[in-house]
Amino acid sequence: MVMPTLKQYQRWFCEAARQEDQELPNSQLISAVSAGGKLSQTEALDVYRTGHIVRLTEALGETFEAVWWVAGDNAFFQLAKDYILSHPSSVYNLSAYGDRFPDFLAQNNPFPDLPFLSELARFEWLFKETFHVRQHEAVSSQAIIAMEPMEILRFSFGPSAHLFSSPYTVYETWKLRGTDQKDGTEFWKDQAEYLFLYKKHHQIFVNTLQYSEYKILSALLSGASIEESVSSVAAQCPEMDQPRLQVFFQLLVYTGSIEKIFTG
Amino acid sequence: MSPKPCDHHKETQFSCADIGVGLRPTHYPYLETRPPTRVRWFEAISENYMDSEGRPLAMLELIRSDYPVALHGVSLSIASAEGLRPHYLAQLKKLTDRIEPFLVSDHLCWTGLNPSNLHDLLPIPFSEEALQLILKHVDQVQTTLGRQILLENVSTYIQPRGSVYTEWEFLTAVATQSGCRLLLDVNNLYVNARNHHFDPMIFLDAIPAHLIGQVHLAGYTDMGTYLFDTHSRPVYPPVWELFEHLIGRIPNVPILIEWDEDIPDFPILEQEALKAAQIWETHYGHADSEAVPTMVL
Repeated sequence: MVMPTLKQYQRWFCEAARQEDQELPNSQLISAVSAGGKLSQTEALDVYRTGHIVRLTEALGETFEAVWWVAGDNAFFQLAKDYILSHPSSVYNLSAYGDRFPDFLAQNNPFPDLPFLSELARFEWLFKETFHVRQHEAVSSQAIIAMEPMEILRFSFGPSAHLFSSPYTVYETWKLRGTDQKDGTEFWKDQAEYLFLYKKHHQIFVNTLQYSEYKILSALLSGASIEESVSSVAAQCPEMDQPRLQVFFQLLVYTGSIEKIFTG
Repeated sequence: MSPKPCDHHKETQFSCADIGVGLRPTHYPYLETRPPTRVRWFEAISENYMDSEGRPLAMLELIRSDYPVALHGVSLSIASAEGLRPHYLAQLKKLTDRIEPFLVSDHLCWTGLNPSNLHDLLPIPFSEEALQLILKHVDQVQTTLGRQILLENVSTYIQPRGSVYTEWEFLTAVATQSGCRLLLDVNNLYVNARNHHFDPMIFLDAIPAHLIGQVHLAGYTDMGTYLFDTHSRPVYPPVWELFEHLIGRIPNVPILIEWDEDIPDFPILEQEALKAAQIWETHYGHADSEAVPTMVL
């Protein structure tokens, strides 16, 4: 028999590892290997095929813990398997696998009564990304207060600072993951949610914002000055009067999410 | 801070039973308290730290400030017929420059082909084609990193036909001809011996001692029809026996207990590591013995 080249063997092997349960591996691959233990060649190749699915399912389960909790074991494992077979991993780090899982869920949600599943996945992916971002050194509140006039200040935020908005209360659902509060209670709402994620002392914090606060912070994150940020929402959010703005900015400074300040 | 029994190891001079364990996230909360331990070094999975600036890297740097650290990769894919990934090598180089590990290792295998990384340690034929490819890749890695690497023998459940070498001949040829060294996993060796029906002692005795730069020990799972390399159990007696046979030839090689599934509390893992130290001591006396030559890594 003519032996395949190394590349041909590896190509066949990859194809076999990504087959559905009932499919038999390429007959040329079967002929090109001998099996270990008391296994047949097909059974031995299946050890690798199964292991591939299990490993990537575990990786998805670690990142999308709340999606798993909401979907339940059987549905999550099936979703994971469908995703794995249609989205091969091109990353070398297992924890980086799953970037397209939120979009996949948007198109393949088996639960019409749980429309927020892909939004929840999107939040979990952002949370995972935030986890791996460096902890910046926050500029002190004294340094910010000392700057005059405040209106012209612009901020550079630490790399962990991210805004997240969703038409559903995904953060509230996420906080319940792993509990038994899924049955019999309303664990999600069809209600918009605005979030600010950041790291402080190597811990991730999630603050729930009002829409007006979200808009101001969005402007600040894009490099606008305080004055520009506030005026950009003034017409839409008349409730953001001076006292509320003051509290908002005090809380923002307290988060420690600001890495640098600029004037002008 | 509690005194560390092995602070001298910061100098990475190994002169006694050099027992290490894998650094795993499960143990971060415990290790963050910087408890006194009897392990002398830690092995970190390279990929877990290559693209992270978060808590994992902070933890690795904390450990590194107290212990020697080895970096052990799982995705180098040294036998990939598509070649090595430049970005991967660049990230590994960045990490090794930052951590200054005393060893850098990966596996003698491939892990997938673009666009399908299977995240597994996959078997290669022990052929001339594979040997030449691996020699080229080892040279590329060692040149990029500016240091020697170690390659580990992997557990397999199939064997591609077309081999012209035995596994031990192939490992020896790779190390001898490339200038790398071997990370000998005694558990993997035993798993393969059972799965592929050869005498593990022949394998052990065939590997020249000077090529072995590190030893791994772990537990497998007996699936009935084959042995499965799960790293989910204590080391089994036949693997301890092989280790005992091996250790007589390699007095100054770092030894690591791997435990990756159903990971026990750190003190239990430490106890498992100390079993290896006890076996070492039956050959060479107590760890402080001056009779044992010092190997400077």
